[in-house]
Amino acid sequence: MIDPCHVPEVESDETLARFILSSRHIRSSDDTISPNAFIAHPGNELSVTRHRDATEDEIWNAGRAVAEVQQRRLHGRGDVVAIAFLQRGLALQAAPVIGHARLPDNPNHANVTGWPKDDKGRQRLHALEIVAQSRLVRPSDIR
Amino acid sequence: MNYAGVIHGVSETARYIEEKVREDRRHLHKSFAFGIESALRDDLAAAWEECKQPNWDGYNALPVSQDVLRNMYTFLEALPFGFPGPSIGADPHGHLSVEWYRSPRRVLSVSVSDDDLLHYAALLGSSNTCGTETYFGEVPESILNLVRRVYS
Repeated sequence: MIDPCHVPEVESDETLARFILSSRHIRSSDDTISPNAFIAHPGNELSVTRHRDATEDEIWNAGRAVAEVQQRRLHGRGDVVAIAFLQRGLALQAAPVIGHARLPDNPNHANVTGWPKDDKGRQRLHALEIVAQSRLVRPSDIR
Repeated sequence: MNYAGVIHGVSETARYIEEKVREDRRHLHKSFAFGIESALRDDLAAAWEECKQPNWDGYNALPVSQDVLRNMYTFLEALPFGFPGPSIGADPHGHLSVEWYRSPRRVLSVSVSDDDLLHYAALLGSSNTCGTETYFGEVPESILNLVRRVYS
């Protein structure tokens, strides 16, 4: 994982993971991701985990830790390259989670910001464009 | 001549016909000739069950309210015969959504809220569109046209 003392800015060619904690967010017809998984709420931030400096196991461990805290099942993750967000005019901010009272440590955590808060049609369009460039990865226990 | 009475009469007749058309449509939807109804109803019930509690998505999503459920039910009822059945989802705003999906770049997604608004977005090959329509109990023609374009 990223060294929490030296967290670099998110670069456009990094792969980011959005953990899927609801089966409703996966299209059963072809195992792709629903745009609803990429709509920011509450607030204006979409939580993602950076692949940078992380092994496959470390990424899944981050997802399982979030699922456990939220008492949800981890159904998979949506991997998408950062440029997909930037092309939509969104911004990426490294936001490591260290020592949080209710969240597991995750130095690779980042937020996608800049969503059009008052335009839900455009939020949905952003999400459709992003999921079109994403890839669903299932955890090994449900592959 | 009492024009007010004529207009009132026409208006009543129009309302009666409109209501009869709606009743017939509801009846036909429930008939065996149109099996889509039961599948959609089951999908809607499952979505409601999964998303009626706060934080159903693990990211602090709002719960789907009964008002949203009712609006989605009437929206599905109002779809014309012969239309492809959408799949049902939910978003973190507490809205239910319907999606007509052929491929990642040929898709229409519409959310139904409790404030009678329909927020929609579509990818149609290299083009895209999005917007918001007010829901008055009928599916707006603009959205029906987008469904047709997804499958054209």
